[in-house]
Parts: sequence; C-alpha cells; structure tokens
Amino acid sequence: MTSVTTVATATVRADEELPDVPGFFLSRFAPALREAARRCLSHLTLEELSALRGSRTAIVLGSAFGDTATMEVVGRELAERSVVQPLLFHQAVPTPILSLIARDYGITGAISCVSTMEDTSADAHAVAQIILAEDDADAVLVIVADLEPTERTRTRAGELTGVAVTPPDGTTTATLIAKRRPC
Amino acid sequence: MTAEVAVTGYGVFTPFGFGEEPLLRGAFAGRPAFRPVTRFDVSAFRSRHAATYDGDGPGLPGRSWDVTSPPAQYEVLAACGEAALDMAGVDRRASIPVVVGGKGEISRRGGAVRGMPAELAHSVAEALGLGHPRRTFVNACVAAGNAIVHACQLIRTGAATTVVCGGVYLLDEQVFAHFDSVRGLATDRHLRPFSTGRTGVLLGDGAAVLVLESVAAAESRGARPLALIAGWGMAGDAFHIVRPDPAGHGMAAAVTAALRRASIGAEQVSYINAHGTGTRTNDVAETAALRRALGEHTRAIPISATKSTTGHSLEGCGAVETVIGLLALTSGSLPPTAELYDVDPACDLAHIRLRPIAARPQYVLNVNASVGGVNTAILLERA
Repeated sequence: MTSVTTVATATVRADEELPDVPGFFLSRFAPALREAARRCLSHLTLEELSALRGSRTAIVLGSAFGDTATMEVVGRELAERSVVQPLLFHQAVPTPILSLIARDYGITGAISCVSTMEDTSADAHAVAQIILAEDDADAVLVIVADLEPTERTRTRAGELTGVAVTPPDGTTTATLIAKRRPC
Repeated sequence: MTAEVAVTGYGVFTPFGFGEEPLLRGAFAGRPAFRPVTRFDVSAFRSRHAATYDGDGPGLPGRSWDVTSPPAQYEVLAACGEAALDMAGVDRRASIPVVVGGKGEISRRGGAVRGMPAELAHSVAEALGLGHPRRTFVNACVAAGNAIVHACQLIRTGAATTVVCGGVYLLDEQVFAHFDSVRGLATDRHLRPFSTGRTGVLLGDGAAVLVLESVAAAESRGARPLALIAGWGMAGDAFHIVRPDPAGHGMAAAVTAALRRASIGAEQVSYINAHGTGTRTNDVAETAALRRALGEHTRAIPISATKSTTGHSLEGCGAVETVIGLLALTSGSLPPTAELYDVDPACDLAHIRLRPIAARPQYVLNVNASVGGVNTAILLERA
C-alpha cells in the first residue's frame, strides 16, 4: 500500500458551540463537518492550502448513521403533516455540505461518503488510502462524523446481532492525509 | 503492474421486473414505466407518479411482491447479487468484499429512517455469504457509481481480486416528500430529459449488482469477461450546495479522467448513457460538461437518458445504468430517450430519440451526478 503522511488533524467535540452554516439548520451535522474541516486545514500554510486546490484532492466522509437529527425531524414532519420543509431537501444527503466544504477550499476531486458497521474511522481511512494507492488523488481530507446517539440510533445499535456497533459519542474529526506533505 | 477490471456477472431489477429481458423490452424499446403511486398515500403531494414495480413482469425469484409493502432494499439487492454471482460462476464467496450504494431502510409507516445505511452492505453480505469489507456508499445519486469505482480501485490496487458491487433505491414516502417539497417532481407523468416542456424528475425502483474481477483472476478460472471497465473518474463541481455547475466543470473532469485512464480519445466513445434527470439545470449542465470533455465529437456520439423510461433510482442509478451500458455493448441495440419530441436548443446533442438504434459499440460512457455537484464517469469496453 502507498505510504501515507498525516498532514493535519482536528476534532470537534459534541458539546462545543458551532458557527452556523447558511442553508443548514436543526442539526449539528453540517456545522460539525465544516468546523472540523476548517480547524484541520487551519494548520496548513497558505502555500499548502493553495496546493490542495483542484482535482488532486479528494474528500471522504465516514459516518455510520448520517445526519440523524435531520432524519428525526423529517420523520416527525411526515408523520404529523405528510409533508417536509423544502429546506430539508439538501440536508437529507451528505453531498451538499461536502460540496460546500469543497468550495471553501477549491477542492474538485472525488467526494465519497461511506457508512460501515464497525470502525467507521478505520474504514473511512481505508477508503482514502485506496484512493491514494490507485493514484486517484494526492491528498484526501477524511472526515469522520456521527451525532450523539438518539433513542433510535441507540435502539438500532442494540438490535443488531452478530456485529458490535458502538453508539457514537458525537465527536467529529477531520484529518488530511497525503502521499507527501503538500507544498 | 496493476490489474485490468472485468465484469463477469450482473443482476438487475427495474420497474419492468427482475432480469435483463424485461429491461430490454422496456428501456431499450423506449417504453416508460411511470404509473400512479400506490405504495403510499400521495394525496398531499403535487406529483402523483413514479416508475414502480407493481407486479407486471418477472418478480424477485421466490419472493412475492406486495404493492403496498415491497421487500426491504437489501432483499432486492441480494436477489440481484445472487443472479450476478450465478452468472459469474464465482465460488469461494467468503473472501469477496461487498460495496454498494444505498441508504438506510425506510419505515413503512411515516417514512422515517429505521436502519443504518451500513446495514445494507452488511445484510447483503450475510444473505449471500460474502466477505469483507462491507461498505455502503451514501453520496446520493452517485452512490452506486462510487461503489463501482471503489470496487475497481480495490481490484486495481490488489486489495481484492473479486468484488460484488452495486446499488439500490426503492420508492419511499420520505424521498418522494423531499423531492415534492422542492417542486422537483414532474407533474405530468413524464420524465423528459433534454426536452422542451419538461416538468421535472420522476423517481423509480431500481437495483443492480455487478461482479467485478481482475481479468487475470477471471481468465485463471476460465470465466469469460462480459465487458471491461476501461476507465472511471470522480470529480466535484465545488460550485453550490444544490445546483450543478452550469459550465459542467466537475462532470467534464470525471469524463476526462475516465478517458485518460482508458487511454482513448473522445472519438472512440460509441454511446453515452446520460444522467438525464429531466430538470433543466441538470440537462444544461450535463450538455456543457460533455461538450467540454468531448469537444466536437459530442455532436457525433449517440446519447440517451434511460431515466425517461426507468425513472430515477437515486442511490441505485449508477449500477442500473451500468447494466444498461453492458446491455448496449452486448445486445446490438442502443436505448432511446423516451418522449424526446422537441429537443431543448440548449441541449443540442446526438440524441437517440423515441426508438432504439442498432449499433455495435466498442466503448460506452455512463455519467451520473448528485445534488451538490458530485460526479462519476464509468467507461465500459467491449470484451
């Protein structure tokens, strides 16, 4: 496997207050992703940030459950009113917030979002390493995010048999890995 | 030396039914599958139609289909997987990874998500006795395309010699409500990509699974590749949280990467299966992207958007349309865009309109894009 360098990493805890993200509401998911990316990439020099721009940088999101807060709202609205607020359309999938992060930094490479049953962080990094090994990118911003468990996610994790699913603790991490330090 | 990637088996389920024959009789004949939605109550919505499988055509093997309570997504995907593995003649399943596009299972009542997305790949693997890793890609309309790309990457890097990959979407109330809320759904029972008078997208049931193998592994066990995956590309627009880049930079970059990997020129592409959702923003951006990537050759390459017959199967569409691409390579026929009577002047491409055309393509290009401008391109080559 290709040798990989961890360039920078950052964490957003579940209890931190986060800046709003225009167009996203009712959930910490998008704000946590964007803030983790900002903190991670704030460790880079301007020259390094410039080198990240373009198609040779990819983004991989690992999330076992996804934006459960938005999904809970959608489920309630459907049950109570049979309709959903239009603003929730783009929160129902992860690509819009990742596209916004990509736009923030001029990243135009692949955007992957993966959900796995076991170690989400390890698997997201494995996906990123495969992208690097196949030379589909020179650097990958790996974001690992799950909100604090809701009643549903806690229940679901407990229902699953034959596989150990640890309910998430609400931490979001962003890590930039690369074949070599960008410059 | 990296491995070439071959397709050695596939299974497909569309609104026309299970298997390739109904797909050939439906999509390849330009026959739309849209009908009134009966799976859930649509009285609160603007749109009332979708391309659902309602029992017409072959059903899942050994499985009844209740119109108001269809099987779980994983069950449909597993049925496609079983067909794909049978066609490929693969044994030693326990060492084969599973990577699929999809989302969490939706509750039958109220439309809430009730399962982790990851359960999809896990459940398919358990049902078919497959191995690890088990990954569910959830990046919306490129999820299945991403799964296929990832499978190719696993094979090319030597991380696996055989991978089961695909994607699924079955019409559900939650997603229908989302699209209806933004007035994205067609109100006239027609999904008309690249056409004047289009009123939006219509959703559709769809699932497909492919068995991908290194060519060396396939040859070593005497299996004949059905096609090669000669190239792929993924790229983002970095433009807007919802809208595609009207200049098509991201999709163009994905297409260019696919051609470069295959070491072919644009003039060698024989057919394009477009993303073609029937929304003006998509159609115009996609046209711009193809022109940007393929240049003057764009005007000569036959193109169609088969969502005009199958509907948009979202997380599954990249896999369903890859199977359609395979059938285009092997059937001697290219499917049309249905109901394309008047082409939008902003989408002036070499459209296959209304009826199929006879052809023997060498390279088939499939493109997909998701909300927010995330793009995939997959290039199939005749084996």
